[in-house]
Amino acid sequence: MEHIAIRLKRWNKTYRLGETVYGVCVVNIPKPISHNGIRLSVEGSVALRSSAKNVGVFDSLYNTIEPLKILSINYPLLKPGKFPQGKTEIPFEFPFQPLVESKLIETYHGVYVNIAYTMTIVLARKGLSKNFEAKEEIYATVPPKKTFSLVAKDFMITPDSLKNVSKKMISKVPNFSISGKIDSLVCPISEPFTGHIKVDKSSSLIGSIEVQLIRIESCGSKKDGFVRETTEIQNLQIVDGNVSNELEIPIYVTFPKLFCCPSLLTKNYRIEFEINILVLFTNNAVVSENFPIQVIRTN
Amino acid sequence: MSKIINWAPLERDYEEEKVAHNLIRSKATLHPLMKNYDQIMRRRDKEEKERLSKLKKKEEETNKNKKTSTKTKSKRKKKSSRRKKKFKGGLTFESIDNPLSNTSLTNVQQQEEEDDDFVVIEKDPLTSGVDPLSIQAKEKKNTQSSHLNEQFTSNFISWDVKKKSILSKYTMSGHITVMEGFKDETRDSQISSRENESMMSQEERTKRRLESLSVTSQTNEIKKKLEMSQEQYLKRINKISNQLKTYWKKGKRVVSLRLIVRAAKDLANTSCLPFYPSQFVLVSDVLDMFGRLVFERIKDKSITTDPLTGGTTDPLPENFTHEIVPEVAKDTCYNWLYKILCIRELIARIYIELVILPIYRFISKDMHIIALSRISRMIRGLADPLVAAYCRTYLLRKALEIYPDLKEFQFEALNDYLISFQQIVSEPYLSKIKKYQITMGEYMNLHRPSIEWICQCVGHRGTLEEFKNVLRKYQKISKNSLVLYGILGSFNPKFIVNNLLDLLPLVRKGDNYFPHYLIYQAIGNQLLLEKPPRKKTMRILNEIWKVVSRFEKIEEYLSVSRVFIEYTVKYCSMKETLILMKDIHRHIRKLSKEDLHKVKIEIFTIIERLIILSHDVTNLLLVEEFTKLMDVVVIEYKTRLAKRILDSFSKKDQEPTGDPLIIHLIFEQAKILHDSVNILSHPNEIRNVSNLINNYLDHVEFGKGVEKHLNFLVEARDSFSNLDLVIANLAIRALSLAMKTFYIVKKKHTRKTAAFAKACLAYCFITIPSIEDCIIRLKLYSLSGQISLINGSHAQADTFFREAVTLFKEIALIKSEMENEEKFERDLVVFLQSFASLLVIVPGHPTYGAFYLIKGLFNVLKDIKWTEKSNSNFKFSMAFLSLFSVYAQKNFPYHITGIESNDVLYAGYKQYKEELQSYSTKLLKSILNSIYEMDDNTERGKQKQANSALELLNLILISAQLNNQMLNLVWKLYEITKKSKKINTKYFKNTLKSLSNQKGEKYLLLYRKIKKDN
Repeated sequence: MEHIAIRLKRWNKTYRLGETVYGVCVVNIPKPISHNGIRLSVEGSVALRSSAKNVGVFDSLYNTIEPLKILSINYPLLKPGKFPQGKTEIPFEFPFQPLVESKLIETYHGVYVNIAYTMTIVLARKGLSKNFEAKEEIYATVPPKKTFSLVAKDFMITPDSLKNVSKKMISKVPNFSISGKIDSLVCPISEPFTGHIKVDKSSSLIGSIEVQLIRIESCGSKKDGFVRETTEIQNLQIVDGNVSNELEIPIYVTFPKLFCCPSLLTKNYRIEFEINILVLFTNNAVVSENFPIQVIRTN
Repeated sequence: MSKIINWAPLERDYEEEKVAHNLIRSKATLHPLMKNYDQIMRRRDKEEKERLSKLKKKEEETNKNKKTSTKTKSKRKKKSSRRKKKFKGGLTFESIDNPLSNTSLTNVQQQEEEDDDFVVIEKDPLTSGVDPLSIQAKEKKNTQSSHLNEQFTSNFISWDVKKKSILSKYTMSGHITVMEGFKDETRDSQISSRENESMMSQEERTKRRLESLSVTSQTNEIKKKLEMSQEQYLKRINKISNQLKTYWKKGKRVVSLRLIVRAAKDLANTSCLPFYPSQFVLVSDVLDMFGRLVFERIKDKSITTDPLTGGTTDPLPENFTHEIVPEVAKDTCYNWLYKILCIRELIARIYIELVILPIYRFISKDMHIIALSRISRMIRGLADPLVAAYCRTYLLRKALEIYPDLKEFQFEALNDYLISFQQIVSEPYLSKIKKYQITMGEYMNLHRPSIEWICQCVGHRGTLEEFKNVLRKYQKISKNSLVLYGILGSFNPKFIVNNLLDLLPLVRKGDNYFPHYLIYQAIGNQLLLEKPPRKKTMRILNEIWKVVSRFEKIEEYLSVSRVFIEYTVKYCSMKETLILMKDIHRHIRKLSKEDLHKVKIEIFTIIERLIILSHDVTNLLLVEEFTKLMDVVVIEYKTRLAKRILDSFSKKDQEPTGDPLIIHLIFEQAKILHDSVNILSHPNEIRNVSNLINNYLDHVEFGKGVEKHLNFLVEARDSFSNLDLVIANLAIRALSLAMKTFYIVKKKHTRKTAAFAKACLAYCFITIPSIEDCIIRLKLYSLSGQISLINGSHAQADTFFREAVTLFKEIALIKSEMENEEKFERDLVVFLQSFASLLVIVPGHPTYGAFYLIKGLFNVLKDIKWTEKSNSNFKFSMAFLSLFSVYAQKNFPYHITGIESNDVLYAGYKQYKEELQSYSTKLLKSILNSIYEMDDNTERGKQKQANSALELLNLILISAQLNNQMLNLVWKLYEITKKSKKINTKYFKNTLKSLSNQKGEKYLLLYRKIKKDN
């Protein structure tokens, strides 16, 4: 049984800038103890890690770049004293405010970029006894600063529109025409990415059409150059088989929680997103079309 | 009670009593010689039983609930007082000259028996005008035809019904290929255990996810395939559903989801085409189960525990709205949705979102509609028309559950299907169909259940506007006959019938992938529901028949004919029906023997329909075309045919027939039916067949040709010798024949007619012994005896009565072996009571004396062992005591004209009186004994005793002289009645009332004494 635990009042543990975090610290002990006080601390930081590919396995495990502190709160919750046997609840509250020179950044767990806010409560014991400790992650969301407008885009994929096809291969590319529309390249994170696609014609059989959501994390600096890391975070099939050519087929992709955050562009690190539309033909040919998108947080 | 009490009968003037008590002679409502007597009696028995059981229930209720007891009692009182009329004396005061047309003795006696209260039921349920049997028959017919109605209009064929038919229809013999990963459980559990580790850090989890992503993409390429038979497949589905349940119970939601994703993915697998519809049904069952699990879980989640106080909220009401759902539950919903929207495979994503669609209800009011319309369009991404069609079926099913009135998706589904169907004629589907070696027709048959479902959704309660729109679209893009079939079969028949002539060219133009005969059949069924305009009936028939009669396959031709023969009967004249029959016969004639054999069932159903539809089956039997058709199937369907014909013959409400040809035709059928029954047949079947034949016999009537009729009866006896009920009916027919003759000669027989009457009675005498049922035999003997007396044949009457008496010897032997001894005994007692009232008029024997029948009867009755605790002995003794009281009168209450009863024969005979006295005294003693024996120290026994004593008391008051001895006895009996609290109070009060009305000092004294005591 845990001797000490944190219970936040807000069920989803998500907070915005300036909001007050309410909760209780629950101490539950089998016999009375005396203590040296309880301390509450909150740490918010951006942790970057250079890619394994660039530095090698050994380095990647140990040479993480020093995390950037963006939030730090530390205050005593209780003076030294005694706890009776059983359950004791100590309420706490603190404003969710970043350090003076930093901005609040949304919680995000990527492979190379990690933005997290952790709350810790430590009950200091007397003598050599081990301290009691409880940790809880708090999630930050940052409201958008400016208004945004949707950017719709029509697209058309034909053999001519392909860019990186060698001249040898061009003869092997089937004759096809696929058109469609993306409702917006600026995407609110809470809304799905939508659009539709239509196969106008295709000389060889289509096996599948897929929509891929790609995340690009890059970190480094202008001096040393950026390390880019792309991850596929969502891949949805929208067409299975050689589909009929008169019907508009909807594209509907949601942004998965935790793996996504609003697009982030800073000096040292960036998080960007792209959408790929892949057309897989039954003769193993694959055609893809890339659309960079901007993910934003909305109200 | 050792002292002998003499029975001194009271002298009564029945004529005076009749006037004094205003006893009106009423018409007989029930008599053995009436038609359908058996059925009516059976119905009565049933009603009686129901009434008793109801009373019992009521009593139980009153016992249980004493508060309400007074209420029910008063109700019962009201009811009974309405129905009852006080009845005095044991018998009706009627002179009988014909037991067949007037109040019959048996009848009255039976009624007495039924109501212990000595009341006459004024309103017989059978007199209320309409024959309940014919009503029943009509209802049956209605339900038969309306059954069709329901199928095609008002009633929507539910998925459950559809499901069963799909499973039975689409089976496979081949093997189905399945990915091996599906069976790999060990890996599943490993993954799940790893995932459940809460200790795992965020980064590790992310890493693992990425790993598993790459793993799946690898395994996708090296799928191992497994071959499975249908049985194995079924087992596998069951296993999945069981696994799902266990994982769910353990709280392993992620594994459950994984399992269900696999199950759904399986629907993209058309490796065994002919089985696909069943595959769909099986998998969708598992999916439905999963949906329910998720819904229930979120509902449970809505019972929240406050994080700070720890209290719980109430569960959500049945009709909750999203406003009251707590945030936690909504969050869980969103999590589920996120998980599902991330499923890579299109088909799995579609199915599973459909499965959990109901959970949108927790989040918002109308999000399901948005989701539904998105999913509806997402299905377009499924290129395989078969897979997509079933996916649409599933969507419509779910949409129907949530929003039954939303038509949007249904039209979209049909429209999309029509468009995507154009793909079917292109690669790779053509080669796929070829690979499975099935024809295009067979392939389309696989689509059929789903298209039927979609069209049903579209057409159900569809408007004319919608119908026209759908048709316009169909015309524009497709020639798919299957869809046309679906549309024509599902929209309101009115629309179809009114536009039929425009629709027929569409049918002709439709592709050949779906059999056209089914479309014509569907049209036919719609026509039967909705009458076409009079002017067009012939044109429609001609247009359709132009095509149908050219059908090459006889099965197809016949199944359309079956519907359209009904059409001709309903909307055209006999002429068209004849032409159609001829056409059918022409088609059959060409067939080889084997082919003919295959379609015989079809031909039989056509004949069956014709018989059912015809107003007069005899007309049909006289039609050459019909008999020709019948000849084709007569060997195989002899019995069923016969049953139908007899059924139809006896159902029609028309006058009996005397046409020898018809009688002969039906007779043949009846014989076939009779021969089809043997000792092993089910009793119900035997009863059924007997009833059918009896109905036929009742419908035969030769008018004044009574001798012909008797000959017919002789012939019938030969042919139907195995059926008890039929034989009994034959005897009754013969008796009515005798009575008919009696009336034809206006109750005065000539020598010739007397001889004929005797012949009829002789027929009965020969016929009755071959009946097995003793009670029927007894009743028939007694009835025959009555008829003999009326017809002036003393000798025959005597023989019949003697036979009845001797029959008791046999009964004594077999009684204990009877299956239902108690009922048998009750029937016997009823007979004895009725027989007692009959004996009033039976004259004594010139040589053996006045009481020789009674003597004989008492002798044989001694040997009968009555069941313990029954009061049978008491009951029939009472009847005979009243008989003796009547015998002592100067004038009997009723007579048969022309027959001198004992009152005339033995008037003033001293010996007669003495004998009567001794019999009465003996009987009284035995009655008293049995009353004393009744008290077995239980409440029931006391009640029985009290009621019996009251009965005897009544009898004494009415028909015995009230001398001192009797007064003593009456007082004793009165005291016995006081012993039980559960005595029939109504009866007791009536007895007192009648006592107060009796003239004479002693009665008055007795009345006062009893009043005082009370």
